[in-house]
Amino acid sequence: MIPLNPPDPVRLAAVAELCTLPDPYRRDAASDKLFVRAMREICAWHIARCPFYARLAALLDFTPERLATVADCAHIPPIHANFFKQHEVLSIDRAAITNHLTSSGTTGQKSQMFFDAWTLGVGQAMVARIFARYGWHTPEQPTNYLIFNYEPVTGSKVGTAFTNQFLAQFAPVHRVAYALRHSGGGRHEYDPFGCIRALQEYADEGLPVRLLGFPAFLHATLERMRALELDQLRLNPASLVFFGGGWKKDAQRAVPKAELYALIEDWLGIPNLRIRDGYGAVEYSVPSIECDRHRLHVPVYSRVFARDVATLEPLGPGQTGFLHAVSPYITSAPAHSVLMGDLIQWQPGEECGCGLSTPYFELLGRAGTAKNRSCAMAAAELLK
Amino acid sequence: MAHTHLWRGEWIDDRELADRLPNLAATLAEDCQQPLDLPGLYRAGDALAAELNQRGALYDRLADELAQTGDSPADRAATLATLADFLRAETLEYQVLRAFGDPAPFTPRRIAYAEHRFEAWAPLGVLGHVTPANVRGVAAMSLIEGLLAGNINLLKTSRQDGLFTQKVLRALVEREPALKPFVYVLRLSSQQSETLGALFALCDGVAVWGGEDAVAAVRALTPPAARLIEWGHRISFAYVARESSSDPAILRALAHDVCFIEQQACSSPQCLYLETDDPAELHAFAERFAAVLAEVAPTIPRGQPPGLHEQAEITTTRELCRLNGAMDDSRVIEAPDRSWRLLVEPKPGLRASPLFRTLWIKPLPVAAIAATLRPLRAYLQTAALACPLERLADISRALLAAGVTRIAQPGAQVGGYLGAPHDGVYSLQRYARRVSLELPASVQGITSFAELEAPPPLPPDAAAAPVMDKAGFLALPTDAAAAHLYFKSGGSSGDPKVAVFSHADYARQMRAAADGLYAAGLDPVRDRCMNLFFAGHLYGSFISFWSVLEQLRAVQLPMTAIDDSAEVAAIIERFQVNTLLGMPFYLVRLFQDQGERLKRYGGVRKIFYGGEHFPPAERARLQREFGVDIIRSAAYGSNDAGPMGYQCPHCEGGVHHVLSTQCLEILALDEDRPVAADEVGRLIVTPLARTAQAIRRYETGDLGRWAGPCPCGRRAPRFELMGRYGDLFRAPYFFSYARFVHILAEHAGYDAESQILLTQGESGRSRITLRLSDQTPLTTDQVRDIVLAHYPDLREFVMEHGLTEFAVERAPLAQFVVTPISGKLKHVVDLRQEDHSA
Repeated sequence: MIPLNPPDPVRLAAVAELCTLPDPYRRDAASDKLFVRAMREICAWHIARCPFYARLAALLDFTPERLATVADCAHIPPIHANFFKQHEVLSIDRAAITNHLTSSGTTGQKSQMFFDAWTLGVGQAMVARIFARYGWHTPEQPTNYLIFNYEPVTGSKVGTAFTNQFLAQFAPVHRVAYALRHSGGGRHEYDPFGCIRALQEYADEGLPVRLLGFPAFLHATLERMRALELDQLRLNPASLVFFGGGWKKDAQRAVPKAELYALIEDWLGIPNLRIRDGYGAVEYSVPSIECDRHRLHVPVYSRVFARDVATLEPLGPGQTGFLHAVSPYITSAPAHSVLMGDLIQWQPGEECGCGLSTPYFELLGRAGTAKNRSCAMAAAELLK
Repeated sequence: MAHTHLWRGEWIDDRELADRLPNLAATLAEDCQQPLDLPGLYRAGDALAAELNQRGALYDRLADELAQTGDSPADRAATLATLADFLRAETLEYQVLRAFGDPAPFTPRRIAYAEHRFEAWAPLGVLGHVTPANVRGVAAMSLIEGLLAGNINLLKTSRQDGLFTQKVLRALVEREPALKPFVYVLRLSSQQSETLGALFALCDGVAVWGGEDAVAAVRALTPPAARLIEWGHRISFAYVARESSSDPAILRALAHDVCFIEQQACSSPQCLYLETDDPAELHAFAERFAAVLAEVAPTIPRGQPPGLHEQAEITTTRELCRLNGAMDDSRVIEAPDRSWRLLVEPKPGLRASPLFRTLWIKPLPVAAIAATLRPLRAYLQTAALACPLERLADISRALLAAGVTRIAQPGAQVGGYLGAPHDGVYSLQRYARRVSLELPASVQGITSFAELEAPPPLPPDAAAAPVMDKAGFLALPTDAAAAHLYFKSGGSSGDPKVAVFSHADYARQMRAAADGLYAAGLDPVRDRCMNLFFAGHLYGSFISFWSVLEQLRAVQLPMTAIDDSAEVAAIIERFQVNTLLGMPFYLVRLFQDQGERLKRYGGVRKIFYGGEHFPPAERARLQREFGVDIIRSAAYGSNDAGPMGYQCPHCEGGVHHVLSTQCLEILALDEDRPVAADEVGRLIVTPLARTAQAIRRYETGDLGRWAGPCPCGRRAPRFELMGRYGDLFRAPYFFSYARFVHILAEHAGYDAESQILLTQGESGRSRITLRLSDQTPLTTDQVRDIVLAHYPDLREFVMEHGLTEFAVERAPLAQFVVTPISGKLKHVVDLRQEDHSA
């Protein structure tokens, strides 16, 4: 990996050190101290370079010098992810923007985030470290890909499409197929028969297979195979399923994870251990990837809090609240303390039993209501 | 398997439902032929409402059902109270009247007299209802609205709902079994698309309540030919004009609306617009309003608190507004205990609030209303408007043009009134069709298909009531709120009484009388009418016929029964009057006094009379010498019971059709049983239109017998008048034998036999002769003076109007008339010519 430097290597030295720690899941007093220092640096960075964030900090009477412990970092002024949908706020010159990525939102406005070379690169490096740790970095092994996402059309800005291109770097691409085929005019159509054919051909070919993208479409493909009473397939045991992007299609009908994983094992022969989901969004792209026991451990580059939905108080383990993610990795925009629209509960790492020491969180669904229980119109309905 | 569906009044389970569904189409096709009886529905609703108000076993059962689905005691009580109010006959009828403009909306009725065009409302046929979970009472009321529009109803409740709706509707149809074929309540899941699709395929319309997703889902399952009636989610707001922005009373009222029921109603304000484009003014207003809200909010009881997601929505929205405050001029003002919050945003647009006392405050000059709000016109509902009177027209016009369907007052934004349009329509109109009939000339004289249909039966509550006499009638309580019109009531044994009518009753009766006059041959297009009935002293005859002719849109000259017959004749000639309406003796005298002139004129073709008999000799004379074609009764009726009968061209003498607004019984003279065949009996009338007084089985005092079917084609039954019964007689006003007796006893010291003889006087006037025994020392002049002195009505008619003659005679007892079998003295002997056409 090419070593990256943050935009100001002196002022952001702790940031650089933290974000390149070699063991993503090792938590100790030293990394905690480093984290706090990095957060002080990044807060000062954004206050100095983003007028909006400076105003916000002033309004809320916040100064980075106050941060002494990880717990203090909960009180770095959080910005709700939706804010970035409505406003462009930058801490760098427009010239330094390397990517402008949008999320594949299904309702309302799309998320967006601006990235500079450092932010994008350091995030990708985190992923690489995690892949390496789990033994998923196989540069010598040609691999077949079936990507449950949009077939690339030139100029696509959709974040998940970009991510999938990136993930394909960890094992060289022998063949690649897409589940959402381009059908002309920038539109895409889910192609179940194509997916089935790809899987069957990959099974015959015997190379390891990587299935990436939206779980809903993989589920639909397997259900189609079942409906057609096809033979179950046995893909190479070194195959890997790696999800991201959430359950698109129809959030009401999300199938429980255990059920889907069992289906994958039955129909494709990929062992449960090699089926992994991940959580990420353009507003918070520090990778949260499932451990061996399918739990989302927070890498050492970030800290996650659960915030009470009424009072915004930081909550203890096992209590439901907004996902509040704090990480100093992002220099391009003040998204270093982001309130996501997801509800979570967190637990200390030891509770998992997989050996990782960083805490993990459980996703409990989107926060907020699309519709009211009464006849009064809700915001989400109005937006349509 | 649980019985969760109500099928034509029966509880059935899923398996039975599956069995019955294939035959439903055939059943519905058959049932559609049968009209729904609205009065029966009103009765059932009223009975159910009364029972609910008594808080008996039914109330408890329904409350329990609501408790099972988690409703608090307060919510249960509110739901049942709203339902009871809705079910009252008065409320149901009012809805029908507001939406359809006619108490019998499905009966085709003439819309013009020059052409034979009829129109009516008609049910859609089969109406589906898809109701949301968690809004108690709406499902039952929706189905009942479907019934008010005459439809068969298939209602799908949510799987999450209990059986409240089924139980309510079962109770309703139990009280009126004729309603059973019109009610189906099925508890189906929205996932059962095949079953739902099959059901909606049978519907002529589907009413769907819910958000966009629910509406879209139903739309997808509904055939294109069916009418989709969507009652979707709506958004409401408040608008405050500049001049009103500091008024503390207005601010308090607005604060109330924000807090009331936690803003959960579609009419609750989610946003408040201030007429300004100055952010500083906006913020100043927000501060003022915040101070008021801080005072008002604690005084309004808190409802169910927000759940996890609702709270998350509130926090998210608030945080975003707060963050915007670092970018622009937005600001959050929140109660310290987070019980309310104002989101001040100086940007144009409409924002939905996460509710629970969260209000957006935004600027909106009047000129920008259209541009800002029109894009959302599909969702706009109520605007609470605070402005001075001089700006009311302009601002409300702008709001209505932008798509608002209801403007309300601050403080009463969540509310409305029964019978109001909802989301821009009268719901009943959306559940019905408007149909037209272009008919042949043979319908001349016919105003309503009610005349061609079998008459309605006596309502059950009337059938069970005893016969009501005059005393009973006078003792009837009158609703003070319905006491609008006061007319002199015909004769009694005491002081002159007054009959009281509500405007609604009067209008209904006048419409019925107009239909009757048209049936009798008055041509509203060609006839030029002069109204010569009496007016003044609270008499109703001139006024009634004024209204009748107005209803018919006939040419009318309002002369009244003036003394100057020369003036009358002159006007007749000058304005080419061809139709006269008045009392027989007045008309006869007119033709006597102005005979030459009227003979020369020769233009009077029709006479419609009321109040008394028309002397046959005079009738013949007018027809022979003056060329009058038609001399017919204008209407048969009384002040008390209203118009009761009319004559079509085939009705001779005293034969009348019963008006469709009345139910007539003829009971035997000596017992309360229906007469046989030709038997003469007492005419007992029950008005069918709801009246300000509950008149049931009123003994009119007239005698009659049934007459056979009529060649005119009408199925309204016919009866023949056969004179008076009892102590009251017409001459032409109602006088009472009992009164004469009383006066004789009290003031003349006479208590021996007396009787009244009625004969034809001069010019067709009635002559009352009071016959006394010749044993009395009193002279006839003495008695005459005493009676006139103590009987004001008689004095009026004899001395002032000269319409009645009065004489006293003394006769030996042998000459007194007695009833043949009993030998009893007859109180009133009517010797006037046997032409009982009045």
